[in-house]
Amino acid sequence: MSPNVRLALAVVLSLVLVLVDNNSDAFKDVRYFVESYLTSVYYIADAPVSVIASGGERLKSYQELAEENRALKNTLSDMRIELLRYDSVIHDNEELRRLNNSPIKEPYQKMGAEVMMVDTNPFSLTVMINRGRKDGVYEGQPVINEQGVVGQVISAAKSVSRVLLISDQNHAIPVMVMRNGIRAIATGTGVINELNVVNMPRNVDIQAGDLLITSGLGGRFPAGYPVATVTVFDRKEGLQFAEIKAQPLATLDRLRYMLLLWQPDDGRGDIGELSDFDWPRTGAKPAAGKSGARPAADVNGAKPAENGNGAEPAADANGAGPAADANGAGPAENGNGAPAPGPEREGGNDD
Amino acid sequence: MTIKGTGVFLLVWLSIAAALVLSIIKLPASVSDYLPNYACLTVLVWAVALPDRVNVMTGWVTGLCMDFLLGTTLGIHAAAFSFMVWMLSSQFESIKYYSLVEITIAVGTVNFLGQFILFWGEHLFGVVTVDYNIFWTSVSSFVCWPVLYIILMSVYHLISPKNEDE
Repeated sequence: MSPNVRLALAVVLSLVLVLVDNNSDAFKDVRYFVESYLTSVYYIADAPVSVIASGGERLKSYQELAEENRALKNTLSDMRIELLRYDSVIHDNEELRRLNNSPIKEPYQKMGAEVMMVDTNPFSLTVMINRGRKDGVYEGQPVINEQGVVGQVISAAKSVSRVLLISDQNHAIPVMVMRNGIRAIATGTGVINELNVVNMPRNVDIQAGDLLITSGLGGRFPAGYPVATVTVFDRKEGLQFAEIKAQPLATLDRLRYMLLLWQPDDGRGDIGELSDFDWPRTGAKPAAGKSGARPAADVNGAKPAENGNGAEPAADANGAGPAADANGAGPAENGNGAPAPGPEREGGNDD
Repeated sequence: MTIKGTGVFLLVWLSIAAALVLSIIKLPASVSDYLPNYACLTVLVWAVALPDRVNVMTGWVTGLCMDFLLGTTLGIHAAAFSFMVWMLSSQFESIKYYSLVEITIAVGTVNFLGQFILFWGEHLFGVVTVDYNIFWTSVSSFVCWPVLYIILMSVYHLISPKNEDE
Protein backbone atom coordinates (compact mmCIF):
# COMPACT_ATOMS: atom_id res chain seq x y z
CA MET A 1 0.00 0.00 0.00
CA SER A 2 1.31 3.40 -0.84
CA PRO A 3 1.36 6.14 1.77
CA ASN A 4 -1.38 7.97 -0.09
CA VAL A 5 -3.78 5.06 0.18
CA ARG A 6 -2.90 4.65 3.84
CA LEU A 7 -3.45 8.33 4.46
CA ALA A 8 -6.80 8.23 2.72
CA LEU A 9 -7.77 5.25 4.86
CA ALA A 10 -6.55 6.96 8.03
CA VAL A 11 -8.37 10.19 7.23
CA VAL A 12 -11.61 8.39 6.46
CA LEU A 13 -11.36 6.38 9.68
CA SER A 14 -10.58 9.51 11.66
CA LEU A 15 -13.47 11.41 10.13
CA VAL A 16 -15.85 8.60 10.94
CA LEU A 17 -14.55 8.49 14.50
CA VAL A 18 -14.77 12.25 14.93
CA LEU A 19 -18.28 12.49 13.54
CA VAL A 20 -19.62 9.54 15.49
CA ASP A 21 -17.90 10.66 18.68
CA ASN A 22 -19.22 14.17 18.32
CA ASN A 23 -22.76 13.39 17.39
CA SER A 24 -23.62 10.36 19.42
CA ASP A 25 -22.78 8.50 22.57
CA ALA A 26 -21.76 5.41 20.64
CA PHE A 27 -18.21 5.48 21.98
CA LYS A 28 -19.16 6.16 25.55
CA ASP A 29 -18.89 2.52 26.53
CA VAL A 30 -15.72 2.05 24.49
CA ARG A 31 -14.18 5.03 26.19
CA TYR A 32 -15.31 3.76 29.55
CA PHE A 33 -13.62 0.42 29.00
CA VAL A 34 -10.48 1.85 27.47
CA GLU A 35 -10.11 4.44 30.20
CA SER A 36 -10.69 1.81 32.84
CA TYR A 37 -7.88 -0.23 31.34
CA LEU A 38 -5.73 2.85 31.04
CA THR A 39 -6.14 3.67 34.71
CA SER A 40 -2.79 2.14 35.53
CA VAL A 41 -1.21 4.33 32.86
CA TYR A 42 -2.71 7.38 34.52
CA TYR A 43 -1.36 6.26 37.85
CA ILE A 44 2.09 5.71 36.33
CA ALA A 45 2.02 9.18 34.82
CA ASP A 46 0.78 10.60 38.09
CA ALA A 47 3.46 8.86 40.14
CA PRO A 48 6.54 11.06 39.53
CA VAL A 49 4.80 14.28 40.40
CA SER A 50 3.03 12.92 43.44
CA VAL A 51 6.20 11.21 44.64
CA ILE A 52 8.02 14.51 44.39
CA ALA A 53 5.18 16.25 46.17
CA SER A 54 5.03 13.72 48.98
CA GLY A 55 8.83 13.70 49.17
CA GLY A 56 8.73 17.44 49.65
CA GLU A 57 6.25 16.94 52.43
CA ARG A 58 8.39 14.32 54.09
CA LEU A 59 11.40 16.61 54.05
CA LYS A 60 9.64 19.30 56.05
CA SER A 61 11.38 20.14 59.26
CA TYR A 62 9.86 19.50 62.63
CA GLN A 63 9.52 23.21 63.23
CA GLU A 64 7.64 23.76 60.02
CA LEU A 65 5.29 20.94 60.91
CA ALA A 66 4.74 22.28 64.40
CA GLU A 67 4.07 25.70 62.95
CA GLU A 68 1.62 24.28 60.46
CA ASN A 69 -0.01 22.22 63.16
CA ARG A 70 -0.57 25.27 65.31
CA ALA A 71 -2.00 27.20 62.41
CA LEU A 72 -4.32 24.33 61.60
CA LYS A 73 -5.46 24.08 65.21
CA ASN A 74 -6.22 27.79 65.22
CA THR A 75 -8.21 27.49 62.03
CA LEU A 76 -10.01 24.47 63.39
CA SER A 77 -11.06 26.25 66.54
CA ASP A 78 -12.19 29.25 64.51
CA MET A 79 -14.25 26.93 62.37
CA ARG A 80 -15.71 25.22 65.42
CA ILE A 81 -16.79 28.55 66.82
CA GLU A 82 -18.44 29.38 63.52
CA LEU A 83 -20.12 26.02 63.56
CA LEU A 84 -21.57 26.54 67.01
CA ARG A 85 -24.12 28.86 65.51
CA TYR A 86 -24.46 26.80 62.37
CA ASP A 87 -26.57 24.11 64.03
CA SER A 88 -29.09 26.57 65.34
CA VAL A 89 -29.09 28.41 62.04
CA ILE A 90 -29.79 25.16 60.25
CA HIS A 91 -32.59 24.48 62.67
CA ASP A 92 -34.03 27.96 62.14
CA ASN A 93 -33.74 27.53 58.42
CA GLU A 94 -35.60 24.25 58.54
CA GLU A 95 -38.33 25.81 60.63
CA LEU A 96 -38.68 28.73 58.28
CA ARG A 97 -38.74 26.49 55.26
CA ARG A 98 -41.41 24.40 56.86
CA LEU A 99 -43.47 27.50 57.50
CA ASN A 100 -42.81 28.59 53.96
CA ASN A 101 -43.97 25.28 52.62
CA SER A 102 -40.62 24.77 50.92
CA PRO A 103 -38.79 21.50 50.66
CA ILE A 104 -36.27 21.06 53.41
CA LYS A 105 -32.75 20.70 52.16
CA GLU A 106 -31.09 17.48 53.03
CA PRO A 107 -27.38 17.61 53.62
CA TYR A 108 -25.46 16.53 50.56
CA GLN A 109 -23.45 13.42 50.51
CA LYS A 110 -19.84 14.29 49.79
CA MET A 111 -16.71 12.48 48.84
CA GLY A 112 -13.19 13.79 48.66
CA ALA A 113 -11.21 13.38 45.48
CA GLU A 114 -7.70 14.18 44.48
CA VAL A 115 -6.64 15.70 41.20
CA MET A 116 -4.35 13.40 39.30
CA MET A 117 -1.35 15.07 37.83
CA VAL A 118 -2.22 13.94 34.36
CA ASP A 119 -2.33 16.17 31.34
CA THR A 120 -5.63 16.31 29.57
CA ASN A 121 -6.97 17.78 26.39
CA PRO A 122 -4.83 20.84 25.77
CA PHE A 123 -7.73 22.63 24.15
CA SER A 124 -10.12 22.48 27.05
CA LEU A 125 -9.96 23.04 30.76
CA THR A 126 -10.39 19.67 32.34
CA VAL A 127 -8.72 17.81 35.15
CA MET A 128 -8.67 14.15 36.00
CA ILE A 129 -9.62 12.95 39.46
CA ASN A 130 -9.01 9.67 41.21
CA ARG A 131 -12.67 8.70 41.67
CA GLY A 132 -14.75 6.79 39.21
CA ARG A 133 -17.94 4.87 38.75
CA LYS A 134 -16.99 2.37 41.40
CA ASP A 135 -17.24 5.23 43.88
CA GLY A 136 -20.60 6.19 42.46
CA VAL A 137 -19.41 9.08 40.33
CA TYR A 138 -21.80 9.96 37.53
CA GLU A 139 -21.70 12.28 34.58
CA GLY A 140 -22.88 15.75 35.35
CA GLN A 141 -22.00 15.46 39.00
CA PRO A 142 -21.17 18.79 40.65
CA VAL A 143 -17.66 19.19 42.00
CA ILE A 144 -16.67 21.81 44.55
CA ASN A 145 -13.76 22.53 46.81
CA GLU A 146 -13.43 24.52 49.98
CA GLN A 147 -13.29 27.75 48.02
CA GLY A 148 -16.23 27.36 45.72
CA VAL A 149 -17.63 25.52 42.74
CA VAL A 150 -15.00 23.81 40.59
CA GLY A 151 -16.93 22.19 37.76
CA GLN A 152 -18.73 19.04 36.84
CA VAL A 153 -17.86 15.51 35.86
CA ILE A 154 -18.01 14.98 32.12
CA SER A 155 -16.89 11.40 31.88
CA ALA A 156 -16.46 8.73 34.47
CA ALA A 157 -14.41 5.60 33.99
CA LYS A 158 -14.15 2.83 36.52
CA SER A 159 -11.81 4.54 38.94
CA VAL A 160 -10.92 7.85 37.33
CA SER A 161 -13.06 10.59 35.88
CA ARG A 162 -12.69 13.88 34.11
CA VAL A 163 -13.96 17.15 35.48
CA LEU A 164 -14.80 20.08 33.24
CA LEU A 165 -13.89 23.31 35.00
CA ILE A 166 -16.39 26.16 35.17
CA SER A 167 -14.11 28.43 33.17
CA ASP A 168 -14.04 26.16 30.13
CA GLN A 169 -15.69 27.61 27.07
CA ASN A 170 -18.17 24.78 26.92
CA HIS A 171 -19.33 25.31 30.47
CA ALA A 172 -22.08 27.51 31.79
CA ILE A 173 -23.47 27.67 35.28
CA PRO A 174 -26.67 29.27 36.52
CA VAL A 175 -25.79 31.77 39.21
CA MET A 176 -27.47 34.31 41.42
CA VAL A 177 -26.11 37.55 42.75
CA MET A 178 -26.00 37.06 46.48
CA ARG A 179 -26.72 40.72 47.25
CA ASN A 180 -30.03 41.00 45.43
CA GLY A 181 -30.97 37.65 44.00
CA ILE A 182 -30.61 38.58 40.33
CA ARG A 183 -30.23 35.42 38.33
CA ALA A 184 -27.76 35.03 35.51
CA ILE A 185 -25.73 32.55 33.59
CA ALA A 186 -21.96 32.56 34.00
CA THR A 187 -20.18 31.00 31.08
CA GLY A 188 -16.57 30.03 30.90
CA THR A 189 -14.24 31.99 28.70
CA GLY A 190 -11.42 29.52 28.24
CA VAL A 191 -9.21 31.70 30.40
CA ILE A 192 -8.72 29.72 33.56
CA ASN A 193 -9.67 32.44 36.02
CA GLU A 194 -12.37 34.28 34.16
CA LEU A 195 -16.10 33.86 33.69
CA ASN A 196 -18.51 35.93 31.63
CA VAL A 197 -21.94 36.80 32.91
CA VAL A 198 -23.88 36.89 29.71
CA ASN A 199 -27.04 38.49 28.38
CA MET A 200 -27.57 40.91 31.24
CA PRO A 201 -29.19 44.23 30.33
CA ARG A 202 -27.04 47.30 30.71
CA ASN A 203 -29.05 48.67 33.58
CA VAL A 204 -28.86 45.54 35.70
CA ASP A 205 -27.90 46.02 39.32
CA ILE A 206 -24.63 44.16 39.43
CA GLN A 207 -21.39 45.74 40.49
CA ALA A 208 -17.79 44.76 40.87
CA GLY A 209 -17.28 42.81 44.05
CA ASP A 210 -20.67 41.09 44.01
CA LEU A 211 -20.63 37.47 45.01
CA LEU A 212 -22.22 35.02 42.60
CA ILE A 213 -23.63 31.84 44.10
CA THR A 214 -25.23 28.89 42.39
CA SER A 215 -28.93 29.45 41.93
CA GLY A 216 -29.82 25.80 41.69
CA LEU A 217 -31.73 26.32 38.47
CA GLY A 218 -31.08 23.62 35.97
CA GLY A 219 -30.87 21.12 38.78
CA ARG A 220 -27.30 20.16 38.21
CA PHE A 221 -25.57 22.31 40.78
CA PRO A 222 -27.13 22.53 44.21
CA ALA A 223 -28.15 26.05 45.20
CA GLY A 224 -26.14 28.28 47.45
CA TYR A 225 -22.53 27.43 46.72
CA PRO A 226 -20.26 30.39 45.99
CA VAL A 227 -19.00 30.50 42.42
CA ALA A 228 -17.23 33.74 41.63
CA THR A 229 -16.89 37.40 42.40
CA VAL A 230 -17.67 40.03 39.82
CA THR A 231 -14.50 41.82 38.79
CA VAL A 232 -15.58 43.98 35.89
CA PHE A 233 -18.91 45.59 35.21
CA ASP A 234 -18.90 47.68 32.08
CA ARG A 235 -21.87 49.37 30.43
CA LYS A 236 -20.36 49.48 27.01
CA GLU A 237 -21.93 52.08 24.79
CA GLY A 238 -23.46 50.61 21.69
CA LEU A 239 -23.70 47.14 23.06
CA GLN A 240 -26.96 45.54 23.92
CA PHE A 241 -25.77 43.86 27.05
CA ALA A 242 -23.47 44.80 29.85
CA GLU A 243 -20.03 43.30 29.85
CA ILE A 244 -19.62 41.49 33.12
CA LYS A 245 -16.60 39.46 34.05
CA ALA A 246 -16.17 37.41 37.16
CA GLN A 247 -13.35 35.55 38.78
CA PRO A 248 -13.99 32.05 40.08
CA LEU A 249 -13.41 31.75 43.80
CA ALA A 250 -11.75 28.37 43.47
CA THR A 251 -8.20 28.69 42.26
CA LEU A 252 -8.75 26.49 39.26
CA ASP A 253 -5.14 26.51 38.17
CA ARG A 254 -3.90 25.12 41.45
CA LEU A 255 -6.44 22.46 42.25
CA ARG A 256 -5.40 19.53 44.35
CA TYR A 257 -8.31 18.31 46.44
CA MET A 258 -11.98 18.60 45.70
CA LEU A 259 -15.33 17.30 46.81
CA LEU A 260 -17.88 15.40 44.79
CA LEU A 261 -21.47 16.13 45.74
CA TRP A 262 -24.41 13.80 45.53
CA GLN A 263 -27.82 15.34 45.41
CA PRO A 264 -29.91 13.84 48.21
CA ASP A 265 -33.00 11.68 47.73
CA ASP A 266 -33.81 11.99 44.05
CA GLY A 267 -32.18 10.15 41.18
CA ARG A 268 -28.55 10.79 40.53
CA GLY A 269 -27.84 13.19 37.77
CA ASP A 270 -31.39 13.71 36.68
CA ILE A 271 -30.93 16.95 34.91
CA GLY A 272 -34.59 17.56 34.36
CA GLU A 273 -35.37 17.02 38.00
CA LEU A 274 -36.89 20.09 39.60
CA SER A 275 -35.80 19.16 43.09
CA ASP A 276 -33.99 22.42 43.58
CA PHE A 277 -36.28 24.49 41.49
CA ASP A 278 -36.91 27.74 43.20
CA TRP A 279 -40.06 27.72 45.21
CA PRO A 280 -42.62 30.45 44.76
CA ARG A 281 -41.78 33.48 46.80
CA THR A 282 -45.26 34.68 47.57
CA GLY A 283 -48.06 32.71 49.02
CA ALA A 284 -48.06 28.97 49.00
CA LYS A 285 -49.14 28.03 45.57
CA PRO A 286 -47.86 24.48 45.53
CA ALA A 287 -49.68 23.44 48.64
CA ALA A 288 -52.82 25.19 47.57
CA GLY A 289 -52.71 23.51 44.25
CA LYS A 290 -52.02 20.12 45.70
CA SER A 291 -54.44 19.73 48.52
CA GLY A 292 -56.74 22.64 48.11
CA ALA A 293 -55.74 24.11 51.45
CA ARG A 294 -56.80 27.63 51.90
CA PRO A 295 -54.11 29.91 53.26
CA ALA A 296 -54.77 30.05 56.94
CA ALA A 297 -53.55 33.55 57.54
CA ASP A 298 -53.90 35.71 54.53
CA VAL A 299 -54.38 38.92 56.44
CA ASN A 300 -50.83 39.40 57.61
CA GLY A 301 -49.10 37.32 55.05
CA ALA A 302 -47.97 34.54 57.33
CA LYS A 303 -47.53 31.30 55.51
CA PRO A 304 -50.02 28.52 55.81
CA ALA A 305 -49.31 25.10 57.16
CA GLU A 306 -47.96 22.25 55.25
CA ASN A 307 -50.53 19.65 54.68
CA GLY A 308 -49.21 18.22 51.55
CA ASN A 309 -50.75 14.82 52.03
CA GLY A 310 -54.23 16.03 51.61
CA ALA A 311 -54.99 16.85 55.24
CA GLU A 312 -57.62 19.42 55.92
CA PRO A 313 -56.73 23.07 55.91
CA ALA A 314 -54.77 24.01 58.97
CA ALA A 315 -57.15 26.61 60.23
CA ASP A 316 -60.02 24.17 60.33
CA ALA A 317 -58.08 21.31 61.82
CA ASN A 318 -56.84 22.89 64.98
CA GLY A 319 -58.26 26.32 65.02
CA ALA A 320 -54.93 27.97 64.81
CA GLY A 321 -56.07 30.45 62.24
CA PRO A 322 -56.99 33.26 64.59
CA ALA A 323 -53.78 32.83 66.52
CA ALA A 324 -51.82 33.28 63.37
CA ASP A 325 -53.78 36.38 62.59
CA ALA A 326 -53.12 37.82 65.95
CA ASN A 327 -49.40 37.50 66.27
CA GLY A 328 -48.31 36.96 62.76
CA ALA A 329 -46.77 33.56 63.36
CA GLY A 330 -47.60 30.92 60.85
CA PRO A 331 -49.32 27.82 62.14
CA ALA A 332 -47.36 24.68 62.47
CA GLU A 333 -46.97 21.89 60.10
CA ASN A 334 -49.67 19.41 60.77
CA GLY A 335 -48.91 16.93 58.12
CA ASN A 336 -47.51 14.59 60.73
CA GLY A 337 -49.99 15.41 63.41
CA ALA A 338 -47.72 17.59 65.50
CA PRO A 339 -49.59 20.04 67.69
CA ALA A 340 -49.70 23.58 66.41
CA PRO A 341 -47.71 26.04 68.47
CA GLY A 342 -49.97 28.92 67.56
CA PRO A 343 -52.27 28.90 70.58
CA GLU A 344 -49.45 28.25 73.01
CA ARG A 345 -47.47 31.08 71.64
CA GLU A 346 -50.45 33.35 71.99
CA GLY A 347 -50.88 32.25 75.53
CA GLY A 348 -47.26 33.07 76.20
CA ASN A 349 -47.81 36.54 74.88
CA ASP A 350 -50.72 37.03 77.17
CA ASP A 351 -48.65 36.07 80.16
CA MET B 1 15.86 -11.90 11.28
CA THR B 2 12.71 -12.79 13.15
CA ILE B 3 14.29 -12.24 16.53
CA LYS B 4 15.73 -8.98 15.38
CA GLY B 5 12.42 -8.10 13.81
CA THR B 6 10.64 -8.77 17.06
CA GLY B 7 13.22 -6.72 18.91
CA VAL B 8 12.74 -3.78 16.61
CA PHE B 9 8.98 -4.14 16.78
CA LEU B 10 9.15 -4.12 20.56
CA LEU B 11 11.51 -1.17 20.56
CA VAL B 12 9.21 0.87 18.35
CA TRP B 13 6.08 0.17 20.34
CA LEU B 14 7.69 0.39 23.76
CA SER B 15 9.21 3.72 22.89
CA ILE B 16 5.85 4.93 21.65
CA ALA B 17 4.16 3.68 24.81
CA ALA B 18 6.78 5.40 26.97
CA ALA B 19 6.33 8.58 25.00
CA LEU B 20 2.57 8.40 25.46
CA VAL B 21 2.94 8.09 29.21
CA LEU B 22 5.50 10.88 29.21
CA SER B 23 3.20 13.14 27.28
CA ILE B 24 0.38 12.93 29.83
CA ILE B 25 2.57 13.72 32.82
CA LYS B 26 1.27 16.91 34.25
CA LEU B 27 3.73 19.65 34.93
CA PRO B 28 3.06 23.19 36.05
CA ALA B 29 1.15 25.04 33.36
CA SER B 30 4.01 27.47 32.83
CA VAL B 31 6.27 24.61 31.83
CA SER B 32 3.90 22.24 30.12
CA ASP B 33 3.01 24.77 27.43
CA TYR B 34 6.56 24.61 26.22
CA LEU B 35 7.05 20.88 26.27
CA PRO B 36 7.25 18.95 23.03
CA ASN B 37 4.71 16.37 22.01
CA TYR B 38 6.79 13.28 22.78
CA ALA B 39 4.47 10.72 21.23
CA CYS B 40 4.39 12.60 17.96
CA LEU B 41 8.17 13.05 17.97
CA THR B 42 8.78 9.38 18.60
CA VAL B 43 6.53 8.35 15.75
CA LEU B 44 8.32 10.81 13.50
CA VAL B 45 11.72 9.45 14.52
CA TRP B 46 10.67 5.96 13.51
CA ALA B 47 8.96 7.22 10.39
CA VAL B 48 12.26 8.72 9.30
CA ALA B 49 14.44 5.82 10.37
CA LEU B 50 12.29 2.82 9.51
CA PRO B 51 9.90 3.92 6.79
CA ASP B 52 9.12 0.32 5.86
CA ARG B 53 8.07 -0.59 9.39
CA VAL B 54 6.44 2.56 10.63
CA ASN B 55 3.80 3.86 8.30
CA VAL B 56 0.77 6.06 8.33
CA MET B 57 -1.28 3.50 10.25
CA THR B 58 1.29 3.43 13.07
CA GLY B 59 0.80 7.16 13.36
CA TRP B 60 -2.93 6.69 13.31
CA VAL B 61 -2.90 4.13 16.10
CA THR B 62 -0.61 6.29 18.21
CA GLY B 63 -2.86 9.27 17.65
CA LEU B 64 -5.88 7.25 18.66
CA CYS B 65 -4.14 6.22 21.88
CA MET B 66 -3.41 9.87 22.46
CA ASP B 67 -7.07 10.72 21.95
CA PHE B 68 -8.10 8.16 24.53
CA LEU B 69 -5.46 9.27 26.98
CA LEU B 70 -6.21 12.96 26.71
CA GLY B 71 -9.96 12.56 26.46
CA THR B 72 -10.21 14.52 23.24
CA THR B 73 -12.65 13.79 20.47
CA LEU B 74 -11.63 10.45 19.05
CA GLY B 75 -9.88 10.71 15.72
CA ILE B 76 -8.41 14.18 15.88
CA HIS B 77 -4.95 13.29 17.09
CA ALA B 78 -5.16 10.19 14.93
CA ALA B 79 -5.77 12.26 11.81
CA ALA B 80 -3.06 14.76 12.66
CA PHE B 81 -0.45 12.09 13.42
CA SER B 82 -1.17 10.11 10.29
CA PHE B 83 -0.99 13.31 8.28
CA MET B 84 2.47 14.03 9.70
CA VAL B 85 3.77 10.56 8.91
CA TRP B 86 2.29 10.81 5.44
CA MET B 87 4.02 14.14 4.83
CA LEU B 88 7.36 12.63 5.80
CA SER B 89 7.00 9.43 3.85
CA SER B 90 5.54 10.85 0.67
CA GLN B 91 7.15 14.27 0.39
CA PHE B 92 10.62 13.41 1.66
CA GLU B 93 11.22 9.97 0.25
CA SER B 94 14.94 9.85 0.82
CA ILE B 95 14.91 11.79 4.08
CA LYS B 96 17.03 9.08 5.71
CA TYR B 97 20.01 10.22 3.71
CA TYR B 98 19.71 13.89 4.59
CA SER B 99 21.99 15.42 7.17
CA LEU B 100 20.62 15.67 10.69
CA VAL B 101 20.08 19.41 10.35
CA GLU B 102 18.06 18.98 7.19
CA ILE B 103 15.98 16.21 8.72
CA THR B 104 15.34 18.37 11.76
CA ILE B 105 14.12 21.24 9.63
CA ALA B 106 11.86 18.96 7.63
CA VAL B 107 10.46 17.27 10.73
CA GLY B 108 10.03 20.57 12.52
CA THR B 109 8.02 21.97 9.64
CA VAL B 110 5.88 18.87 9.38
CA ASN B 111 5.31 18.94 13.11
CA PHE B 112 4.24 22.56 12.96
CA LEU B 113 1.73 21.76 10.23
CA GLY B 114 0.50 18.80 12.24
CA GLN B 115 0.03 20.97 15.30
CA PHE B 116 -1.98 23.34 13.18
CA ILE B 117 -4.17 20.51 11.93
CA LEU B 118 -4.71 19.37 15.50
CA PHE B 119 -5.83 22.81 16.52
CA TRP B 120 -7.96 23.22 13.44
CA GLY B 121 -9.62 19.84 13.88
CA GLU B 122 -10.51 20.62 17.47
CA HIS B 123 -11.78 23.97 16.36
CA LEU B 124 -13.96 22.52 13.62
CA PHE B 125 -15.64 20.01 15.84
CA GLY B 126 -16.07 21.89 19.04
CA VAL B 127 -15.53 25.05 20.94
CA VAL B 128 -11.90 25.24 21.88
CA THR B 129 -9.92 27.47 24.07
CA VAL B 130 -7.80 29.56 21.78
CA ASP B 131 -4.38 29.51 23.25
CA TYR B 132 -1.59 30.26 20.88
CA ASN B 133 0.89 29.01 23.43
CA ILE B 134 0.37 25.58 21.91
CA PHE B 135 2.56 26.62 19.02
CA TRP B 136 5.47 26.82 21.41
CA THR B 137 5.18 23.06 21.39
CA SER B 138 6.35 23.12 17.78
CA VAL B 139 9.38 25.17 18.71
CA SER B 140 10.38 22.88 21.54
CA SER B 141 9.70 19.86 19.36
CA PHE B 142 12.07 21.36 16.83
CA VAL B 143 14.76 21.60 19.49
CA CYS B 144 14.11 18.22 21.10
CA TRP B 145 13.75 16.17 17.97
CA PRO B 146 17.46 15.69 17.11
CA VAL B 147 18.18 14.67 20.71
CA LEU B 148 15.41 12.13 20.70
CA TYR B 149 16.49 10.94 17.27
CA ILE B 150 20.05 10.33 18.39
CA ILE B 151 18.96 8.55 21.57
CA LEU B 152 16.46 6.29 19.85
CA MET B 153 18.82 5.53 16.99
CA SER B 154 21.60 4.51 19.36
CA VAL B 155 19.18 2.16 21.11
CA TYR B 156 18.12 0.88 17.73
CA HIS B 157 21.69 0.20 16.68
CA LEU B 158 22.23 -1.69 19.91
CA ILE B 159 19.40 -4.00 18.97
CA SER B 160 20.23 -4.38 15.30
CA PRO B 161 23.95 -3.72 14.99
CA LYS B 162 24.25 -4.83 11.37
CA ASN B 163 23.58 -2.30 8.71
CA GLU B 164 20.34 -4.02 7.89
CA ASP B 165 18.64 -0.68 8.21
CA GLU B 166 20.27 0.43 5.02
